[in-house]
Amino acid sequence: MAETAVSHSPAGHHQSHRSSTGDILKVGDTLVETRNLTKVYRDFWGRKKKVALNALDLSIKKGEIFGLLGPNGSGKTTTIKLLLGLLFPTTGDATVFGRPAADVRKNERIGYLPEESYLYRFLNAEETLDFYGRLFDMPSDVRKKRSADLIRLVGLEHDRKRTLREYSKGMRQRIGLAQALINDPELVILDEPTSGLDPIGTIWMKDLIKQLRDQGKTVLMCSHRLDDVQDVCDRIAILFNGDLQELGEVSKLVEDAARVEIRATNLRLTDDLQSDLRSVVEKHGGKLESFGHPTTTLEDLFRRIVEESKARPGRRYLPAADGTIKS
Amino acid sequence: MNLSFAPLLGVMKFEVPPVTFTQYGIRYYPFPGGRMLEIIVNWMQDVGGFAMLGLVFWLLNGLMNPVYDIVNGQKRNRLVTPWMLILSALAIVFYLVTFGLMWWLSGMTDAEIFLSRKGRILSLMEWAYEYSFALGGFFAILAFAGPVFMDIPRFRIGRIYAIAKLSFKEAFRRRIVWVFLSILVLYLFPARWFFREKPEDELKSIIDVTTRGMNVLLISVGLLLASFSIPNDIKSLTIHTIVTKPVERFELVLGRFFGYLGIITMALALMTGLGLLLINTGNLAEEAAEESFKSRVALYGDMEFSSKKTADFVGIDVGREDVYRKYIAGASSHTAVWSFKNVPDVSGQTDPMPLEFAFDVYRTTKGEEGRGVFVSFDLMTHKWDPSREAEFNTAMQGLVNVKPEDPAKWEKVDKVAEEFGRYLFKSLQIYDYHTSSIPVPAGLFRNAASGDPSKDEAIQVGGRPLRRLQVTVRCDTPTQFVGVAKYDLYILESEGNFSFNYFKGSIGLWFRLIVAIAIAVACSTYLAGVLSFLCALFLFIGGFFLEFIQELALNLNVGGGPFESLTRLINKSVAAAELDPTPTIRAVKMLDGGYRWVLRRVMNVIPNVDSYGLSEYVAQGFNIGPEFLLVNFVLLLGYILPWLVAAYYLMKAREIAA
Ligand SMILES: Nc1ncnc2c1ncn2[C@@H]1O[C@H](COP(=O)(O)OP(=O)(O)OP(=O)(O)O)[C@@H](O)[C@H]1O
Ligand SMILES: [Mg+2]
Repeated sequence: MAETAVSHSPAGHHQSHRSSTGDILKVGDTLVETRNLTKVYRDFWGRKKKVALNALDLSIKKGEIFGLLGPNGSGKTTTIKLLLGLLFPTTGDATVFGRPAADVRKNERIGYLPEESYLYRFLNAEETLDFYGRLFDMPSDVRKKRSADLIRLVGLEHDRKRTLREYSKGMRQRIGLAQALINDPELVILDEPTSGLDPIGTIWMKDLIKQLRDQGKTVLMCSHRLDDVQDVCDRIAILFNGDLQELGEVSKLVEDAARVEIRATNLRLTDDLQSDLRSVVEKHGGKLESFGHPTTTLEDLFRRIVEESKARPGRRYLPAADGTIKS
Repeated sequence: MNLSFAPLLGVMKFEVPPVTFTQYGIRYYPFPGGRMLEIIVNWMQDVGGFAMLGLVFWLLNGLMNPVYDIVNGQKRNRLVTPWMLILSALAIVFYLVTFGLMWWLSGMTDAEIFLSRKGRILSLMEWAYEYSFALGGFFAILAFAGPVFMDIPRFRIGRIYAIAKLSFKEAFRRRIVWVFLSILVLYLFPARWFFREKPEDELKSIIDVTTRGMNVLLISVGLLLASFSIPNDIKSLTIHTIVTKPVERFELVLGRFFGYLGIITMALALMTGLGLLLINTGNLAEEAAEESFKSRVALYGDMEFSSKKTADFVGIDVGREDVYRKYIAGASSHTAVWSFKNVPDVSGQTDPMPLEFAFDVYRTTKGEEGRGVFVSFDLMTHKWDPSREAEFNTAMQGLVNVKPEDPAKWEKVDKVAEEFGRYLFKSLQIYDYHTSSIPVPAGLFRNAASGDPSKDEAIQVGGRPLRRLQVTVRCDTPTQFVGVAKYDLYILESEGNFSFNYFKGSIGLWFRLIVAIAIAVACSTYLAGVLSFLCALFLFIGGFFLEFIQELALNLNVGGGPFESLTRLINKSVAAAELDPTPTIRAVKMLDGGYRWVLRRVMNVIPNVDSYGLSEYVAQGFNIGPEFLLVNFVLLLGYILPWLVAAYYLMKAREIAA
């Protein structure tokens, strides 16, 4: 399903909107910028409840996949909401496409997938996309084509007439992504894009995010699933308790220059081999830490089973508890 | 017909504003443009006050917590634009001028004001006061509502339509609309089954029941839908995917407003159509059809003033020239005379016909607020013979002011009226702008209808030829003045198309629904669903008791208002005595003026939903004038626009995700 291209040559309609909201940006230009961005949640009486974000300085460049990382409650969603104008900063400011976060015109070029897909549950997939298309003031033929393409992209062709009420969490996440892409946005903001998705869906989502980057789009995503972030992000910011702890390129941040990993195939780990290896390593001044046979991951196993099930639908024969095989 | 109902019909007249917000204002405005200008000036004063209040809050917040945009390398406060500041400054200048004039005027006693009313200076000062007050309001409105209008070019019909359509779908998919259909089933049963009344009241009962049902059902559903929509969007977080699209927040408000208005309008249209179908095809009792299956129209006459002592008497000017009404003095020879060229056709009818009127009362003595003055009516036809005066008086012995509820005596009144062509009604107590009526015997109209008045021109009363019917009005209470104008008095007669009238009655209900939905949507931009429902409901129900509330608020002002009362208490002076205009007293009077002003403004928040209760006319078989609908619609817009502007700011300032 990930084969379908994310973007279909954007209709002229979008182009015209784009030029009305700002100039065309080049790769490397700053798209999102925050200065001293701070958010303090207050209660009704104005008393301080929580400093959710503290003096964040950030700038996101066109064409990169930027990850916000951090444990639960560290301020990731708060940052995103501030950028979108859903929250107003306590101090500091945020600009997107050079416009203040509160200006709705910047939204012409943004696609947003909320933490959970907050969509109208009495609409079906087609109506949902049509509705959001109208909010961009898209003409009806563009709307139709675009929503059909997106439904295909997120793999909901067979469920497009069902109301979202009947959707599973993962299906809702998919239609949520489709609505975020309805305007062929330049900046895609994804809050926990892989939450609720199965491993296959997660891989699909990650591929899709990379495809978006390949089309020159900028992606801002947040997650607390480190593997997701590591797989797709170019740069990350790590937040903890509202404070920025680390900011940089993923490859640089995770590279461990002091260690070397070797993988080989068609080999058995014999005593001979072990002592040979040790002597080679020591000859070069290193120290052998560990060796062994790699295990396959559960993800690989899951993936293999799903592939097989697709090839041969129906019930799989499983060994019963007593070891006999039942049909 | 039921005469006790007649006062309600007063709002029917175009010339007297059906919405009473001028009722308790300072009366003698110099408004050469007449009532409409008065209404506009009042509107600017009132709405301007609210705008100024909102502006003060907005500016304080905007200056203390500025949000800067960088425009061409320069910092600009997004919340407070230079235009806003300039216009606010202008508004403040005019308010200061108003304040100064108020100070000047408060230095005069009521007696001085009355005596020098004709004086140019005073009139000019009052004129300046009213208009600078209105101009202050005007600039405050411009400053506050300006940003809304500046945003309008960015609004897209497509987006508003999308949200309205969503509201529609929601109502259908969530099966809310079925509520409307379920109630229609009730209307399928003949009203006769439930009400065992006089047969001629059958149609009235049907209309009464159906409109009451429609009112309750549509208004409550409308209020519920509208007050829960935006709060629900916020609660279920669906709003996050909407406001992160290029949707102006006010577009969401408008979309919801029009969406729900659309649903309710459809339901109303359906119900009106069905109601008409039922009434037109149902087998009504014949008497009921006779009684209610019509729409009567008001018949107006020409008016002139007359006085035995003054030739060419044209009424008294208590204020300036060009004011809408002129006045007749109490217990004097002053009269106002209406002459009717035509009279209603009453052949075969014995019921009295109402003569309705609503006059202005001008007091020169203090402390009688709430008490009426007495007026007398003298009706004569072109066949009245002044030489039979004594004979007529004898015949009327014991029959003056007899009511139709006393059929035996009323029959006699009717006979006398038909025989002599004259009818008297003495010393009726009337109130300010309050519509009342007297019953006119059908016999008088029969008398008037016969013969040809042009041939009777020789017979003259008061030096003028008689029309078919002439109504002479006198004020009986000394030192009081009654202000009258042509359209203040009329006979209710004639017939129009019932179905069309029924439809127009529904428009009245539609106006109510617009008000209800607008208030509810506006409240819901700030309050939670339940709260905005209660708030809107409270305001709306308050609208049905508006006059009562106004009277209540006004009665608090005995002795000149709370601040003056307090001063009197401290100085131990009696309420009747006029206080000397020392600076303290002037300040106190101004405080009271301010207090009354605020009170009146607060009451303006309450919608005058009562004036849209048009189905009563339909049920009683009275025509609803189209101009009246138009004026009410304009007033309705004047009422809901401030609400929408408030909604704009509340929505814009709202932190959606907090
Ligand atoms: N509306 C609110 N009122 C008060 N406090 C809030 C509100 N929203 C968030 N917070 C607090 O702000 C902090 C940051 O919350 P935020 O939702 O940004 O975290 P997050 O990094 O997105 O977490 P998660 O991974 O669980 O989604 C938390 O401590 C949270 O309790
Ligand atoms: Mg979060």
